[in-house]
Amino acid sequence: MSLRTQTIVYAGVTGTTTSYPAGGAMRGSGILYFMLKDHLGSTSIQTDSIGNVVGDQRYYPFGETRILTGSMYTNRLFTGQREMTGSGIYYYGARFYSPKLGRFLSADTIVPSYADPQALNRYSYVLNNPLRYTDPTGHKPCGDGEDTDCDGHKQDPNQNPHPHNPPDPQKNQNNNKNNGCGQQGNYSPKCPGWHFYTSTYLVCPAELHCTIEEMIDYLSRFAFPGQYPSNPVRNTDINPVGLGPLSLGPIELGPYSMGPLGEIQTFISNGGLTVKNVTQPGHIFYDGIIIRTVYKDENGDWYVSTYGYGNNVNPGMDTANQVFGPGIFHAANQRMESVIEAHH
Amino acid sequence: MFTPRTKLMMVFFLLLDLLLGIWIGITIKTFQMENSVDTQHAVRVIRITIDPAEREALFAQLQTFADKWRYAIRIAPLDPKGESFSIQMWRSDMKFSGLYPNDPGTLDIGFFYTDPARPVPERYFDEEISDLKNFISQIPGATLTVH
Repeated sequence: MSLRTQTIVYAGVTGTTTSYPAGGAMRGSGILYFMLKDHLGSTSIQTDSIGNVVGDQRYYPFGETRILTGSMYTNRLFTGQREMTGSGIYYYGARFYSPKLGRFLSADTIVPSYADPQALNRYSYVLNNPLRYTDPTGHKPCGDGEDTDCDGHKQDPNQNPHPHNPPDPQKNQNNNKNNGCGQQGNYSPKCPGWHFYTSTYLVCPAELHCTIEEMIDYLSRFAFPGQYPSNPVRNTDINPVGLGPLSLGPIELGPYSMGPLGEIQTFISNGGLTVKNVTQPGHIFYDGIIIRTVYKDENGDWYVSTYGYGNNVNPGMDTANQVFGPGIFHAANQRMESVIEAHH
Repeated sequence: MFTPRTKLMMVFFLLLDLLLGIWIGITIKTFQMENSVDTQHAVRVIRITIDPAEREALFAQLQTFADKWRYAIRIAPLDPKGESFSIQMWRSDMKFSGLYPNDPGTLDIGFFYTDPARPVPERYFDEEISDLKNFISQIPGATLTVH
């Protein structure tokens, strides 16, 4: 491999960038060098073509240079990332990293694993375990060979992976074909945390003569549990969800008296006759979707059908979903029915 | 007047009442705080309409857009057949969240402030939507409309 140079024009200024490899062979100034990496991919030894060591660099755990002898003809040093010349900081793609501080210089834009307390500090480097993990993207730790999904943990085929893996729908589909359980968000009965429930509820008998416009409006006011009916949903709204409203004697505890459980995003389709509630990361019943549709049967009765499914990330939530989900929506439908009755 | 045992019982129940009062107070306050959680309305809502056969091209363009504007992106299936997808992009100031298809052949995306307490200027949304429109226009027959 030779040094790869590239002429770039940015903001009207022309310059030349030179790319250095982090390991392998490299030709610079007509001389062939070999770079040897340690277990983290850090460039540690550089030799010439006949094996003489021309440079030796060792690192402290968080990447500060510990020993440097000779010369290293690359700027891809600690974990193979590019060191910014003269500044002592590294460019990790999404962010800059300071080995002196052992911290990134800006917060991560994602929390790669919200269930892991070490990941909640958005400045921390590789879950504060730099001897084991690297961070190729600046977004999330990447570990040993068993960490195939690069989330800082060994890959367990029986676990539903976390929500922030790189998207690859095609890969997901292929995995689904292979073992029935793919990467994140791949809804499948074959994956852990699967739940599915359905319910149908008569909300407006034919004798009340509900119109389609009314039903669209009612659905938007009873789109999810705990919704204030005075606050109809709009397409793409993100809403907090509770189990209520509950009351304790004369005290009205409000719609989120048993929550909030988290957030859902609501999508309206089918001319307003269908709402889809997609759980957002952090919701205790993440990852799942609930689809509610109003429809009229041949007798003129209006029903609400609800079905929910998904693969819950949090252990045990699939059972809770399966057991309590229908009841929660049954209660919402009862409230919807009572409001419809009151207005006819 | 009171035996030591009675005094002890009185002090015990007084303390118990005090703790009960504090607990009720905290609970009511918690309910009030939870009730103050608001719905987030999208700052902008867009609808992208495409030929379903161009779905992969759409995802590729969204990925390219996310890379350009430094968003973390997630496109994840929402059903066992892999026919519908949740699409999310996240950055420290703005985030998008959408569903494909909402109606057949349509992708609805809501654009939000990541932290509504620290909103960025709305023109940021318009600029990025305008650029997204350029990406989408490269897909044959695709349209992007702002609602």
